Amino acid sequence: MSMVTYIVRRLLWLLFVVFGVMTLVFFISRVIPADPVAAMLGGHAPADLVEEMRAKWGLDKPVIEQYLAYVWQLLHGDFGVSMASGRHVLQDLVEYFPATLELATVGALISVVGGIVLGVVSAVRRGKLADHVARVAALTGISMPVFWLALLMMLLFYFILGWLPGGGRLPYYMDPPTRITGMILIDSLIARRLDMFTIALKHFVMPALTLSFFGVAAISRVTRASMLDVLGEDYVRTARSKGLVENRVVLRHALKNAMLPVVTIAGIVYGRLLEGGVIVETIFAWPGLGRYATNAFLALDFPAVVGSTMVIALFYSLMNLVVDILYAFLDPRVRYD
Amino acid sequence: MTRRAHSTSVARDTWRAVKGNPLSLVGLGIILALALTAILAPYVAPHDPYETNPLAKLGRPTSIHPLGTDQIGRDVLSRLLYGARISIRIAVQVAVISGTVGTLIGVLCGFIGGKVDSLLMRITDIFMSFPQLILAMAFAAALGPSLQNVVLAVSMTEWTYFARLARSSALALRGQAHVDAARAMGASKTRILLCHVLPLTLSPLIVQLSLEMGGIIRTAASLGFLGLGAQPPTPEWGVMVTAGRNYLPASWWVSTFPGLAIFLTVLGFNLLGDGVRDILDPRLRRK
Amino acid sequence: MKLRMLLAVLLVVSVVVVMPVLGQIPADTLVIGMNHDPIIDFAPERVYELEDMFILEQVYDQLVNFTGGEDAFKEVKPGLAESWEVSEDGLTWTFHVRQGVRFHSGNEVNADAVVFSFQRALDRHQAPIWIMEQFVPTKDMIQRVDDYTVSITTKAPIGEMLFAAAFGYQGIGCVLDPAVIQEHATGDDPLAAKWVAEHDAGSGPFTIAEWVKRDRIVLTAFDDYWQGAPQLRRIIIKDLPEPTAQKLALERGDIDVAWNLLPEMIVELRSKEGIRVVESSSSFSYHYLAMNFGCEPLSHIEVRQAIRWALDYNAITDGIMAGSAVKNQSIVPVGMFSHLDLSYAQNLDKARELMAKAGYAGGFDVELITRTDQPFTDIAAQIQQDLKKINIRVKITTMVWAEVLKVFRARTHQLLLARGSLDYADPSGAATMMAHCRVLGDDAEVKQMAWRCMYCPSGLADWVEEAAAEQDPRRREVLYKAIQALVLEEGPFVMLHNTLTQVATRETVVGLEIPAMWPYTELRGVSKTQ
Repeated sequence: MSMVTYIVRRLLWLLFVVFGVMTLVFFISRVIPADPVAAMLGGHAPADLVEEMRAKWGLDKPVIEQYLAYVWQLLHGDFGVSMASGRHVLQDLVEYFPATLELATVGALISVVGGIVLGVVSAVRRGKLADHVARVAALTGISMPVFWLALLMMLLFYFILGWLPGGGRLPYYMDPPTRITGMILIDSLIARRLDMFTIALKHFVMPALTLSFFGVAAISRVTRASMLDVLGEDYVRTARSKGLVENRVVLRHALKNAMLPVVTIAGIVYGRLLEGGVIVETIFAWPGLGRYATNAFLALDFPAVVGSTMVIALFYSLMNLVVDILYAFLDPRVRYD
Repeated sequence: MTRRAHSTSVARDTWRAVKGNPLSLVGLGIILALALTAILAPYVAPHDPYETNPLAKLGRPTSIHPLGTDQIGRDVLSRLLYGARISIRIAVQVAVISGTVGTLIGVLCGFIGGKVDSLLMRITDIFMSFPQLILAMAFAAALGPSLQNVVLAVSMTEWTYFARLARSSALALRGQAHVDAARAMGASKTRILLCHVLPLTLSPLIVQLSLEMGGIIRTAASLGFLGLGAQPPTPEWGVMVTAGRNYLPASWWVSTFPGLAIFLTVLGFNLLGDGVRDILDPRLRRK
Repeated sequence: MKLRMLLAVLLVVSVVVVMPVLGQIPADTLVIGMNHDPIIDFAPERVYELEDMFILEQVYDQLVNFTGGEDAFKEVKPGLAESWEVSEDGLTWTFHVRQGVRFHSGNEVNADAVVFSFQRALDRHQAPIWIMEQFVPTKDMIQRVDDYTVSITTKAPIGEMLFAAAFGYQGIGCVLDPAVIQEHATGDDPLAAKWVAEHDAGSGPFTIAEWVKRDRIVLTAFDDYWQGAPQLRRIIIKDLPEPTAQKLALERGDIDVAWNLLPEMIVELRSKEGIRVVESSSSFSYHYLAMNFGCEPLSHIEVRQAIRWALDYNAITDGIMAGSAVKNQSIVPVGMFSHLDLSYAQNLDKARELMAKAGYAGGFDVELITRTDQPFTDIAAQIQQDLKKINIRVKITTMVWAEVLKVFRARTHQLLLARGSLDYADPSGAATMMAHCRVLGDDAEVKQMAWRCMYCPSGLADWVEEAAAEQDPRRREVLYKAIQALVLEEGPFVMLHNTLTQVATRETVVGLEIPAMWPYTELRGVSKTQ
């Protein structure tokens, strides 16, 4: 099978998954005991009132009929109207998603770089102090609740040390560059505002670092294990016996071959960063999808809930797809079937 | 390999892996301490965790309130101790529910195969194409925020991992001699499933469970933090951090201690899991 | 080698990152940190939320306004109407519109604009329309007399304060620019409801320059404002949902004003160098516990009274609120005309006795609905503890504010802890909200707190209306005191206190005054010293 067919097949599969996610969330919101109206009106609503509200939101029809109506809407590119804001959900998603994507990307970059460095050091110095420190650091990173970490970081770097801005994407008095992509780093570059770019970058440090704690930990663990595996292989031993300097062996031969599992975990981490974003965005006043989704969940704003979860699932699945394709490029042994 | 021999060998391997790894022993210690705290909370807690005293709020740690008081004058230490019960309760209930449901579905899939199998596996794919916390948030929001619903919501995100694992164990077992033998002797499908396949899939599942525990507690605490989990005034750690964050940095003790408790608990499970993981990963075992 | 390069890059990046954060807020720009979660939109005919009203206050004008300062809301003062007179029978109001006032578009404010705005509000018929409709139910009652004269007929005679309350209301009372509305009208939206929800068509001292949802609202100065250009060039209302983040940002000088601080933070900031605390001297906002008559045990008067006697008011007001509230247990706020001082304190014996009398000595289970934020969750926890002492087992359910409101409006709560605010400084507002319910059904004219708690004693609504129309102040006072006493005795509310509005600013911010109704805070006179 050719690469193209493979990608097409995977894309179709991806569509199916996103569709499945939509279906899943749709039915969770309609079938499980707390239907939106009861949730909206509280547990002791008089029957006639519940009926009236049900009719208003089209909830008096059979679930299947509602579902089909929603699917029909979706096929026309209509995500419905948010019950809370009265705006089109799609409009909101377009407004909020770029900020989240940008933050997750910076977080993923930090995770990959930090994770690989930490993992390599740990593998090369296996059993030594550096290894133990790195492993404990990794475990700490995985165990830290994101919301607690975010608060501690803010206290230390913003309030006590004053090194980093405490929230938002730019100083609060500063006008953002013209919105083109919705991503502040890119938009400020397009506007040729290098000063703004630097300032914005500084605003990324704390939220992105908070987010990447988990990623650094996960990637370093995999890198370490994978490096240890590779370092034990024959060709590395051969390279070493040829008298190559240790650093070169590590970098040129081992690291390259150890990258396969790292790519996989990096993809997963990228997706998981969206999850952390939900919390980090609230604390660092980041105008992203995470906060939008959180508020939608809290307000049981179901059109917004379904819309934002679909976007997140789409992104998550796309990441998996990219990982698989990268994998195929990196490892010629992988067949597309 | 008989059933008994298989289980004991896993148990022995686990113990060996833990024993040989000082970090895992630390993890085990933390978890035992947590369990003990949960059991003894009513006997050792100095105060009623719900008793308010707003006129003596945000008190610094003293001998009467060793970890200070919170924003309405409740004893932070007592709430922390009772909170251990809630965390343990959530973790155990999630483990039991998602473990049971996931295993049953997985074993069934592996054993029956065919259309049922592929359908159920596609469903797990859908569940897994979701960041766990987001999915749990969706469930928690739909069910309405409460402690019980946290358990249900987290279980619904967890069962897929167990289903996958149980399915692969069951698949591996399907062709094995003793299962074939049982079939040849005329045992019913149900009997084969219950007596021959299911028990053998349990050991790896228990190992998997120890790996998932940390994540379960983290997710539950995050739901509490977002207001989608346990409701105030329940002394759930995530909820306590949420309320206490407003009093940082002046009254740091209100949110720092519950935050530390979550961290240590999750760390404990992860340290333990790190040792146990080696059993699952034959590559690492080789070394 | 590459590893070393990588480390070098990391080092450079971290140096850039760690360099002190540069930049300061310009002196002509005011940055306010505020939680944007309650903000829905800025359509004047729909606005009901305090945060939305606060934005409208800066961008729109009404015919009449209230006085500010010490005597805030005690007198009516001219706005877009330079003067007005009432007919002999008290039914026809004639307003003379100030000449030469410009909208932001440059168009002139005239009688047509006024008539258009009020008729448009009646056409749009959104939730707050009752404020206008209770006096002026139909469009033909609003008439243009000439270019600068408008006549408004009311269905019954009312006093000036009440009239001003309705037509000076920061929302439906706003005067809009008809040309701008028409410009943005579409086939299925002839009144430009969608456009006006995100932009402004006003004549106020500022215009809405930018609104990035859940991020920032930017207001810019309107230089041709009829009362003179504002001192500030720009106001940025930045979304900072976390009170802690607001406090830290204020202390570090990243914002000028922090709007949503907790009482403890205010206490701490009072003694901080470079920070000033600005607070309202009184307030028309309450925290109260609402008990639904439609829920079995709460329909017994003894049970409601027992709950009143069971709460520890000192703990709630002095402890939890920490100086950000004044104790008040009546429906008319402290310091307002006819306020009845009804102070009472916790008395558990009395409460238990009443429970026994009602046949509930063994108590009952009840659900308390409240908001997810502090201090509501904390007050709820205290109420739960207090009621436990008389065997009432409270289950606390928290919801976001919009949800709480929905439940309240749908009347499906049992106990509900909420915040309420009066629209104007006259006891008639309080009496209408908390004692006016003529019918229980959906056809009720007033669907405020009394109706929402299904508290509909016969005759009370008439009493409330009689008091509103009464011209003799002494008789009026007697009537309002009687209403307060009755509602306290048998009504559905446990009034806890009036909450003060407390904000903290940088010392450089001068001229900020917060009236008893904080959404009416004017930013026109605010400036910054450097």
